[in-house]
Parts: sequence; C-alpha cells; structure tokens
Amino acid sequence: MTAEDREYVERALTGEPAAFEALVRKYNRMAGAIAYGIVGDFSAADDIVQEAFLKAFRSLGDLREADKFKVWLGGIVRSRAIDWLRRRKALAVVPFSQAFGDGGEGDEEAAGRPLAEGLGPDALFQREELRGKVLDAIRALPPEDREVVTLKHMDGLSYREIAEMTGATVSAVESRLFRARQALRKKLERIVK
Amino acid sequence: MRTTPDCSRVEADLWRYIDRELSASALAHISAHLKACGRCHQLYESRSRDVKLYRLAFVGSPFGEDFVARFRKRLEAECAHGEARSCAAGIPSPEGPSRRGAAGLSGSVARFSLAAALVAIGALVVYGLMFRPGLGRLEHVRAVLVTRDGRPVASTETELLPGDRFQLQGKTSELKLQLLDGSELVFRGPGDVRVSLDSAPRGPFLASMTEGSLRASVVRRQQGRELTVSTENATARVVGTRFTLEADSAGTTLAVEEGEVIFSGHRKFDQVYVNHATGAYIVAAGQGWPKPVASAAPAGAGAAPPDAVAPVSPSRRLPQAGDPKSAPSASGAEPPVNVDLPVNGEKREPARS
Repeated sequence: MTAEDREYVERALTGEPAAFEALVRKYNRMAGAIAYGIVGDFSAADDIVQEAFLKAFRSLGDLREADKFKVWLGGIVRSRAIDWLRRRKALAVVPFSQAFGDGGEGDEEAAGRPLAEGLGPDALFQREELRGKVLDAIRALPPEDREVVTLKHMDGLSYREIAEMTGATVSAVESRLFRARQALRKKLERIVK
Repeated sequence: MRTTPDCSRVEADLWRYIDRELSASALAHISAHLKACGRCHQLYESRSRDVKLYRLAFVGSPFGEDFVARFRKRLEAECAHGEARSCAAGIPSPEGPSRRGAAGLSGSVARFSLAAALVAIGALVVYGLMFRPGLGRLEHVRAVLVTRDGRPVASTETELLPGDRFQLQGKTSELKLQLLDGSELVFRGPGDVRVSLDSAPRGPFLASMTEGSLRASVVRRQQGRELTVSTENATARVVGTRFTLEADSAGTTLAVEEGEVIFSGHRKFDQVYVNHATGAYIVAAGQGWPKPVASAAPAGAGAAPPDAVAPVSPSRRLPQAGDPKSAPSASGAEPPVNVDLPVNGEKREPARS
C-alpha cells in the first residue's frame, strides 16, 4: 500500500493530476474520519479535509518520504481540525451543529441517497431518527474516544492504523474503543430495544 | 445455558473477532465456538448489531466519491483563478520550498532546474505578497462592533483584500463592501464574514457568512467571474442581480429582487434557480428539503407563514439536457422555481464497511 502511495505521489509530482486524485479517493474517508472525530461536525470536517488536501497538493514536493503520505496527510488534517476548534472557541460562535440541531448531516439520505431505495417513508423516517440519535451519542463521547470510534466505524481502519493516525499505542486504541462502545451501548440501550 | 472456560476466552476476544483483529486460527476457533454455544452467539449477535448501528451513523458523511468530485472542482477552480499559484502538485504555498521535479532529474541539470524554479517561485511569492490584489474597499462600517481579523476596523475607506475576515457582533453591526466593478454588498450581523483567498479583482468574488444577512446589488459579471456567497447550508451564485440572503438558526433564506440567482443547499439538493419573475424566494432549512415559497418575500424576511411553505417533492424528475433553467409557475400548484434534484446524493456511495 505504501509502495502504491509512493507511486501516486511521484506521478503527481511529475504533473499527473489523476495520480493525486487517486490519493484523494483513497484517503478522503480516513481524513474525514479524523476531522469528524475531532470537530464532531460533518460540515466543518468537509471544509477541513478539502483544505488539508489542497495543502497536501501544494506541499507535495516537501514530503520527504513519499510512502508516508497517509500519515503526513493525517497530520495535516489533525492540525487543521484542532485549529478549527481553537478558532471556534476564540470566536465563541455558536457551532452550526448546535444552531441547527443535527448540523444538517441527517438530510443527505433523505435527499435521495441510494441506500434509501426500497424503504417507505415511515421506515426511512425511523431510520433517520435512529441515525440521528446514534450520531448524537457518538458526538457526546470524549474527543479521544470519538476519534477512535469514527476511525473504526466510518473508515474501517485497523487498530494498528488507528494507532498510527492518533499517535497512541495499539493497546490504548483497543481500550479506548472498548470504553467508547460500552458508553454508546449504555446510551443507546433503550433505543435499540 | 452453561458457560465454559472457553466462553470466557471467547468473550474476552469477541471485539477483536468482530473487528477482525485476530489470527486466522483464532478467528476459526471462535467461529467454531459461536456455532456451538448459544450464549456466546447471542452476545456476538448483540455486539454485531451495535456495530451496524455505529456504521449507520456515518452513512450520511460527506466523504466518498462525491467528495472526490467536489475536490476536483475545487482544485480546477484554484488552477483557473489562482493569481501567483501554480496548479501543479508540489508547487508550494508561500510556506515552504519545493522539491518538485528533482526526483526525476539528476546532477547539475537537477540543481539548475531547482535553483531556477526556486527563483521563479520566490519572485511569484514576492509579487503575490507585495501586490496582493485589492478587490474593492470598505465603504461603510457601523464601526464599533465590526472587527477585521480580530482587530477593530480603524477607519472606513480601507482596501478590501482576499482573505479578509470580519466579525460582526450584534444585530446593529453593518459592513458595506464596494467591489471594483461597482457591486455593493451590505452584511448585517451577528455573524462572521470571510472573503476567500480565491477572490480576484478580475476573477470571481467568493465570500462566506456564518449568520446574519446580506443585501447585494451585483453588477453583471462575465462567466467565470461570478459572485458567490455561501452560508453554512447554502450557496448563492450570481452573475448580476439584486438579492437578499439571510442566514440564521432556522436556515438560509434567499429573496431575489432582480435577475436570477443560482441557489445551492450544501449536500441536500443541487441547484435551484430563483428569479424575480417567479416572485419566489427560497429557504434552505438546517434540515430537510429546501422550501420554495410561492409569494414574494419582503426584503429581509426570514420565514414564511407555515401554511405558505410548499416543500419540494423528492419525486420530481431530474433535469434533462436542454431543460430551461427556470420554469415560471403555471398553475400555482407547483412551487414556482425549477429545482434540480440531488444529483450529488445519487452519486454518493455508502460508507465502507
């Protein structure tokens, strides 16, 4: 995988736009999971990841080890997401997610996502309601727990990959994930039943 | 159901089993145990349901193939409108040097190319910094409550630059921007107004506002020089018109007085063409579908009476090539705007599991 990244990076540096796009395709979910894990808001995460990819594109020549693109990108996303949090605190602007309840994330499926196919309006509504509650519960987790849950369940990363992204040990990742799942189960118990 | 010592081991490893974090032999051992043990199987089923639920939560994320398409457009726009910026990968922003091209070259040719590239980039950066192109000026500021990049705006008549950020505190704060082409934008607080670095004097003008209102009178602009203002949940793109855009905790409202505005709700629907002839205004709420309203909105109106709201039906057909951009209301039964349904949504793929 890292050899593949090295090839994409080198091809992008020779001016092949499709090679950088391949990296965007490959890592946008992971980047999104990192950003969402930190900021807890899809809309902000989307902006952060776009900015991070732009930064990566412009600075690709500065990447010393092309096969470390993933970790390098992860670092850019984390630092942008943390900046976003700091700025938000400094400005004391009401976060969009608070102002709009769900932050608008709950609407994409209602807007005609393929996964809505075959579901009637009632079932769709119930599922959206459920999804909103699960998302609320995830958002309410402590940031470091939310981050591992997001990387695990939004992007399907392994414990080792999550450890690589977060700078934690594999066992720390496992225990955070365990703790987070326990907390989620407790919160969602009544809903699931 | 009886528990065995093996049950305890299986239970301890069950999350690793679900997460596929075990060796093949350990996975096979647990699979065999789960087939034989009803109690452990129940526990496995219960945790697997939880995992499905957590995955479901992320299905609505904006990432995936749709993100790739949006990023491609963004990059193309950067390349098309960048002033002192190359659209080749590896050409740095002013933060760092470039090693682009060095990998494929060798010896003195590489060193010469690198040196030449650095000189050229340096010249471009200096040019960019020294001649950061002005977009217009701050014509009028209802002063005390408006700050620029965190500092109070000292006086009016200062130049408006790409990257400017204004904080409008309270409802009485007001900021009027006069662009070089004579277009006027009046922002009212409370909210945060940001002028994108991608804005250029002879290019597009891009700004965003968190909340508050904008009253704009835009001189007709050529294609590629559109004026675009985004809120948290919608974007209005204009080539020349008069309109009011309001963003508050209920959503974003657009009222068009003259001309036509292309209105996009972020990730909820694609584009809605609103023009004065239809007498329509449109609301992109924080949740749900946009709500075109069949009566003309008073300038600055935030919301229509509930009974005047006509949600767009998701069952309306997708626009076809050659369709007119806006369709005037014929009977009054249909909302008097032409709505392009969520093409983005159809392209979206489910989260990877």
